[in-house]
Amino acid sequence: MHATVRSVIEAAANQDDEICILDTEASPEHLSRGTAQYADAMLCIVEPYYKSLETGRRMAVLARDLGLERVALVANKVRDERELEAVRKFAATHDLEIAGIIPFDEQMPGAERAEASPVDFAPDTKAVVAIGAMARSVAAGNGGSVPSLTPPEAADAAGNGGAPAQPLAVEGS
Amino acid sequence: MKLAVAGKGGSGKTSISGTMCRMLARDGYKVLAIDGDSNPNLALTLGVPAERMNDLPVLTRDLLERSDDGPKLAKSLEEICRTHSLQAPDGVNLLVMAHPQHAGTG
Repeated sequence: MHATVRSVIEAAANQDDEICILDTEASPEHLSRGTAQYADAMLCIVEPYYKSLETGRRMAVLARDLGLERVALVANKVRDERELEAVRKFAATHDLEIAGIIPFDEQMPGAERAEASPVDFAPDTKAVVAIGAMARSVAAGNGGSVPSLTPPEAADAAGNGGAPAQPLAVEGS
Repeated sequence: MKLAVAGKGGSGKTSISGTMCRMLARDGYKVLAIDGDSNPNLALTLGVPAERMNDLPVLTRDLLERSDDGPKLAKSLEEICRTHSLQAPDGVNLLVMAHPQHAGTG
C-alpha cells in the first residue's frame, strides 16, 4: 500500500492549477517508508500541547530527511494567545515554520458529529475561514509570514512577507 | 502542488485536509484528494455521504507494475481516477488507498 501511495503522488498534480492533498496515516511510521517522498510540501498538524507538538516535530524531521521542499507546522484548535505563544516558542526553538493557525471552533466537532463537511455544515465559521486562507496561501506557495489568530482579512491588510505578527485580537466564540 | 498532511490521531488532520480540498476546489483548482489513512474518513469531511463509501473501489497493489526504477503505476493516473475515484462536492476527486485490513489486499 505504501508503494501505491508513493506512485500515485508521484504521478499527480504537476500543473499550476492542480492540487493533490494526501491525508496521511496517523502514525509517523509511514513517513519512514517514504509515502510522502514525492510531495512538494508537508503540513504537520499539531495541537498546542507538548506531546502533540513533539509528534509534529518528529514528523517534520522525517519529512525533511525525505527531502521535501517545505515542511511546516499548522497549529490547530488554538484557544487563546497563551496557547499560540507556546506553539510559536516551540517552533522557534526547533526552527520550524508555522504555515497556519486554526482557532478552536466548536463547529468542527459539530460537523464531525453530523457526519458532514465543515464547509457544508458551517461555511462561515472561523476555523473554516482560517483553513481556507491557509490553503490559498500554501497553494500559492507563500511562506515566511507569521500567521496569527486574527481573521485572515485583518492579517492580509497587515501585509505579509516575514512581517512581525500583529497584536492578536482573539475572537470570542 | 502536492501536499502531504500529517499529524497525530485526533489532531484534526482529516478535517483540515478535507476543508482545504473543498476550499481550493471552489477557488478553481483541480483537486485530487488521497485518503492514505488506514481508518479512511476523508470522504465524510469532503461531504460524501457515508453510504456512497461502500461502493468505492480502493487502490490496491495490482495497480502497480515493476520497472527498473522500482514499482510504478500500471495505468495513467487519469485512467485510475476514472475507474477508482469518487466525485466529492465542488468537483474534488477522491482516491482511497487500500489497507491490509481490507479483504483481498495486503
